Amino acid sequence: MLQALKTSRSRGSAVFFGVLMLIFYAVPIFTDNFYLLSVFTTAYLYMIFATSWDVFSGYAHLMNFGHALFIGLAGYLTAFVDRYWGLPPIVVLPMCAVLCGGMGMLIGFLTLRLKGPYFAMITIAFAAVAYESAIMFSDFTGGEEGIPGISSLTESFLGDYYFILVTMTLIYLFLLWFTRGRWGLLLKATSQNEDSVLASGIDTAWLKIRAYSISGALCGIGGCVYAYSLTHVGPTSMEQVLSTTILIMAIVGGLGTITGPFLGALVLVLFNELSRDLEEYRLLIYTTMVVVIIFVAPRGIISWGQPLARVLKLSGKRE
Amino acid sequence: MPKNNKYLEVDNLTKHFGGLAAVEELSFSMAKGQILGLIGPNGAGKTTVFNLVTGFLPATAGRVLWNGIDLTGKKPHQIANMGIARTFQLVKPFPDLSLFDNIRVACYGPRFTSQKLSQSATEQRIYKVAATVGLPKDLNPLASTLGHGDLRLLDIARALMVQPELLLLDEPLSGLSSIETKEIVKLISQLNRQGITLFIIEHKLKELMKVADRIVAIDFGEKLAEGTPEEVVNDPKVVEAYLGTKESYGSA
Amino acid sequence: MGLIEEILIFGSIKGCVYALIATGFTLIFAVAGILNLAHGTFYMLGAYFTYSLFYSLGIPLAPAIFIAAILVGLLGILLDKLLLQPMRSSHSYVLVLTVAVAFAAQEVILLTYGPRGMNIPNLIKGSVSIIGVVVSWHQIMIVVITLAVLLGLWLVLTRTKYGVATLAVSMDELGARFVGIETEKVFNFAMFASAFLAALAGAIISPILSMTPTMWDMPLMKAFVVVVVGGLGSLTGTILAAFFLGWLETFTGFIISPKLTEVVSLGLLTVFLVFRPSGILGRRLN
Repeated sequence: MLQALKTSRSRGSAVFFGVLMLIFYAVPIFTDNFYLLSVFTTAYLYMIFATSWDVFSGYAHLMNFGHALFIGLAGYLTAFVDRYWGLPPIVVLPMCAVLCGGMGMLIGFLTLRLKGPYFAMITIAFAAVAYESAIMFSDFTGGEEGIPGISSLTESFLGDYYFILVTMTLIYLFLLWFTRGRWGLLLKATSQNEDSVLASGIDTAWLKIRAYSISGALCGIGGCVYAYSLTHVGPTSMEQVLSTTILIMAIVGGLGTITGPFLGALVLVLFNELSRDLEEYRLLIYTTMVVVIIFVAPRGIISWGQPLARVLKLSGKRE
Repeated sequence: MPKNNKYLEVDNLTKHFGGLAAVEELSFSMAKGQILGLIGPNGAGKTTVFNLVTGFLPATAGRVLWNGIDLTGKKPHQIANMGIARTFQLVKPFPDLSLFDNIRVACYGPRFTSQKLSQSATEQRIYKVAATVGLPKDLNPLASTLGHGDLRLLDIARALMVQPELLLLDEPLSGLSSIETKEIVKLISQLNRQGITLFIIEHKLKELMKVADRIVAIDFGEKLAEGTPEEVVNDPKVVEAYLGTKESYGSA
Repeated sequence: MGLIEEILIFGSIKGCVYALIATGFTLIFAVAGILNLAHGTFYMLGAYFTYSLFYSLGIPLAPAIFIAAILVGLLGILLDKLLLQPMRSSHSYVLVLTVAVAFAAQEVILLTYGPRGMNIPNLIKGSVSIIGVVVSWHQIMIVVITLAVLLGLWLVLTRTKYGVATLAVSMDELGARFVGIETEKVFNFAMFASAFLAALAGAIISPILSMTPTMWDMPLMKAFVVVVVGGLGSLTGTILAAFFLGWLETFTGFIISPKLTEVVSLGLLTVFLVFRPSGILGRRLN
């Protein structure tokens, strides 16, 4: 990754994101506003969801339409473990990662060894059945209401804020490192020409299965933290709308870049807050956004970063 | 121990697609260090043979033996890791990756990583292979900017990264100018001198005959002839398959 | 036992609806290689358009259903022309676009009609007893309409110019173009037929199942299962699998537990993916 910082382009974006991160960590120093801080934590959670989605779907170019499955699975596991065993979050996090990683392996094993659109279908189907099951088997899952009363992450709201932020930071940095190396290269190569990757001796099916499993595991960590921060889990943690929203954030931000979805999640969460009165049109707005982006800027808003920086730098030089 | 001339042995290889017999009880073999050519009219099943040998297609019946090892039923990446590399009839680059990255992909296969080279040594190896095949010095541009001839070189470069013992080339000269053709023919001889056994599908017979030690001719998935280039090219069955019946040529 | 007859009859009725839905889904996939995640949307629009045509415009029910299906068919062509064909080079983007359309349509319907479930009346009132089972006349109509439509589809595909061209494209698009077939028109036709069938299914089931803005995900799920079991791209396989699923679900609902009917379809999907992903009949459209 250090090598990646050699080019001035990467340095520019590293500076940009360094500054952004600094702002995130500094915000509580300047404000006590509960509402504002929760908007940020919501953004951080969606950043985890969107970047974990991207590490597989953005790089292997196989669309996962049911990413919220992992959020819900992790959420329900968290609720059970919290209620019956009272284990601390730091123990529950890896449990969720393992559960969701395992589910990712299962789905990957079923669909990623095959040629065809099976992956997309199964991600929708599994998420949908999980949603239905959560409602149906209400004795275990609390049905439509879900399970309330999950403990909080830490003693204080400020503690929660930093717990979530640190989790997001670690995941984001991990994913940057992960995708700049061989995984990013091989997944992208596989998406562009799988036969050549096979002919080079690499087991592409196993590669994809592992990458998807990691995507699930990381999302599971996010889902665990999400459940704690809401102190509640329900079928809405797994609904199709959530999966689609995450996908839209990632695509609007920029597929296959990790930083794109990071940005996309931030932008869309902020936009959502700023346009509260448009709440009932939200989904319509999001879907229109993604359609426009696909036709106008398929590489996402992150691809505007280059020309934008150049324009800014140029004007700076002249003055 | 396999006999000397059965380094690669295809034994009654058969492939059916539904009712269609693409390859029918095909048998031939080659010795280590040779260059074997595979010829036949369009649709004869040549690429299917390659796909069967390299595991990209499962065989309906028959076997492929290499160094005594049964390749039948193995997966493509497993076969590549044994030391058998291939290129494809239609070039298969990674268009949105740089030339450097295109070749670098092959460095992550177990066969390469087992050498435990450092990152800089790997980089050097990539540049060396690129130079060997004749790619331009600058490996930064994306593969999508390359012309057809250079894309063929790129495929070969990637195949060479796994340090193959056996290299299968599917129509390496197709779509090339006469200069590019000469360069690749030279490259093929060079690789062979370095110890690589080659199995080549090619339509440009004149060039193929310059390098091939032996040739197998097939049509409709069946073997027509096998032998030295002169023998095969003059075999009446082969002539008939390519050019039509003997009558239409008026020769006995 | 009365139970077997009930399972057979109600399973068949379910199978009919599934067959209409899944046939359209397979058709557009086989012809254009598009996995249309907005397919359920056509089903939903068929129901809602019929509702408006019948209640707001006062058109009699049977013609209303037919007109609604045609309108949805035309909408399908529009969707294809505007969004899908321009992006055909990227499967991923096409999938995303269809999902976007599906959700956008859901919201528009929600905003226009509200979230409450609504119904349209039965085509024919009353019921009749068949081999000891009480079946409504409307349910019989479902079977009749399905058989008629599928027969019509078969005739169109095998006897008309467009139909045969469609079959050709589904087998080999490049080859079909070489022979001079205008693939554009074939895609339009396939899209129209696909949407028409789905809309019809949505309309004729709506006296029985209430229509809601989220009713589009059920048919999509069923289509997935049917299409994998029957073989992506095989029309005959799709129809067989549709009935198989209908019977299996009805059987499960009656004999084991109504809660498990949804799990049944997923279980079937999983089993086939593991053991026989090409489905019972594999690849071609016939």
